[in-house]
Amino acid sequence: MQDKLGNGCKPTAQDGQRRPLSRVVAVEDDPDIRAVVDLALGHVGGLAVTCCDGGRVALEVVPAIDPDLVLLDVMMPGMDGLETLTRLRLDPRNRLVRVVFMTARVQPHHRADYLARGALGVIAKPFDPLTLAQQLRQLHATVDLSRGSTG
Amino acid sequence: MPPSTCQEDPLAELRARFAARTQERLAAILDLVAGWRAGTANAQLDELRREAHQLAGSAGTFGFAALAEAAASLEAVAEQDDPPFDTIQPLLTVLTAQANRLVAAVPASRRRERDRVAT
Repeated sequence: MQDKLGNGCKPTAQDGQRRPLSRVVAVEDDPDIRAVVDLALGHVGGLAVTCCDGGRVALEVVPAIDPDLVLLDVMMPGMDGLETLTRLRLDPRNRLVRVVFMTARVQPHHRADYLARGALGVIAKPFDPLTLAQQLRQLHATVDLSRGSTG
Repeated sequence: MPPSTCQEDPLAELRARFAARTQERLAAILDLVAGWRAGTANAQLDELRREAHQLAGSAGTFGFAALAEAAASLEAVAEQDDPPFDTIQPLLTVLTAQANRLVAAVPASRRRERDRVAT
């Protein structure tokens, strides 16, 4: 099932147990966009946001923060978003972490690839900073958060 | 922190900072093109593609659509294997024009602040 943006949404019977979106780790190499994401999710969106400048840092930060969601840039030097997601999943602590990609590459075959890799959804760049947090909340609200019922 | 209830643009400060740094980003792109033309490895082209990609993304996010489009066009050409310079030159001209327009719109006080930080 996909929403109107082509994101993979899976409403479940456990929706009533979900934990509201609160903590987000954002991974973005561009300092300007990172600053906008920080502002958009924190100041505008009222979320607790931790920003990382690359995938390698994210591998350390994500299990430490235990976020509700990881917002992950795709094209980054060194370790790109796709490899970062793969490596995150190799760590049992991150097995259930929800990941949303943020990228300018949002053609249907790109989206299909991201979802097949286990991403919850895709935010297209350029994004609207004033609605970014709301978009993430909507994606988060549609996923099975079985982990949310256990803390 | 809850969103501000005032009507000010929460992005204004970041947008101005981005605009003030645009000339530096343009200079970096021009340097990469020069290095690539000098016949060095394709790594220059990869770096050019990355720089153009970043500029396109951030310019678009800040609402500078024309600059974003110019950078995205450059990124698309840089993704090709050994693209002819004839295809890059006009894109650089457009990119430079858009960047200059943006820089010209930055308040002088912001440029002075940037220069002070840089020195």
